[in-house]
Amino acid sequence: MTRHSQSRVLLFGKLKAYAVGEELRVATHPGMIPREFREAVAEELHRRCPDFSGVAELVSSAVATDHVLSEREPLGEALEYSLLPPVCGG
Amino acid sequence: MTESSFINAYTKIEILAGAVRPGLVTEALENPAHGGIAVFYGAVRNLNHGRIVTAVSYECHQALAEKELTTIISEARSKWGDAMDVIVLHGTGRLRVGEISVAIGVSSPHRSEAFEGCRYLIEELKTRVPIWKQEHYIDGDSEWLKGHALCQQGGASEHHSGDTSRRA
Repeated sequence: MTRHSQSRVLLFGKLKAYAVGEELRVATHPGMIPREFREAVAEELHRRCPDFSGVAELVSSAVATDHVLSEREPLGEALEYSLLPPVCGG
Repeated sequence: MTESSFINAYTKIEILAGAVRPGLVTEALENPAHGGIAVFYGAVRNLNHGRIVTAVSYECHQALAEKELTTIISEARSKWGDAMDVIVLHGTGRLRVGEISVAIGVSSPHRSEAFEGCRYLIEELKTRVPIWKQEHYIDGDSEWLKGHALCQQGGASEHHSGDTSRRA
């Protein structure tokens, strides 16, 4: 039986504009991969804001815990995940 | 902030609130065995792609930034010598035009390694470290700059350049 958790989602950069209101949480399970996680986040953001327009940023964002997950890497047991848009420091 | 020594090599990584003070870099790089010291400062400039910039806001995932910078510094040492001393400072928050957003200092026995190591560090920082910037323009508009996607091939050490980065 797949164990689901309500995991906290941290948004950065341009995505942060969508982190309004209550803390963002989505249902995750250990076998979920980043693509599925982003889809769950998009669904939740659409639920909160029907005219959510940040799909492009979301699709290009990496999923991270204490490291950046590869696209085939399962989310594992963490209860908090970060979405990292394309980076441009310096 | 992380600070460590490895085979007598000094490393300092610090993500700061606000702008970087230039003096912090040279203060840290005092090694009598090193004849080459290379320092890079990145400053907020007032023009980008024809738009007048008044300020830039920097945001960072601090833990992952420090982790990736540690990896990048290890790579630089594997290329140009374990004796290399390194300091990397990056500012966060809203910085005005002219303020220093990033400072990288590298010292090594000889100048060639210092120059090359310093260049490597800033180039890799720009494409691999989770830092983002939002430009603020004189007309009141603001825009998050496009950058390099971390997610396409794997972790940050397997990054792939996604969107074309605006010159920053």
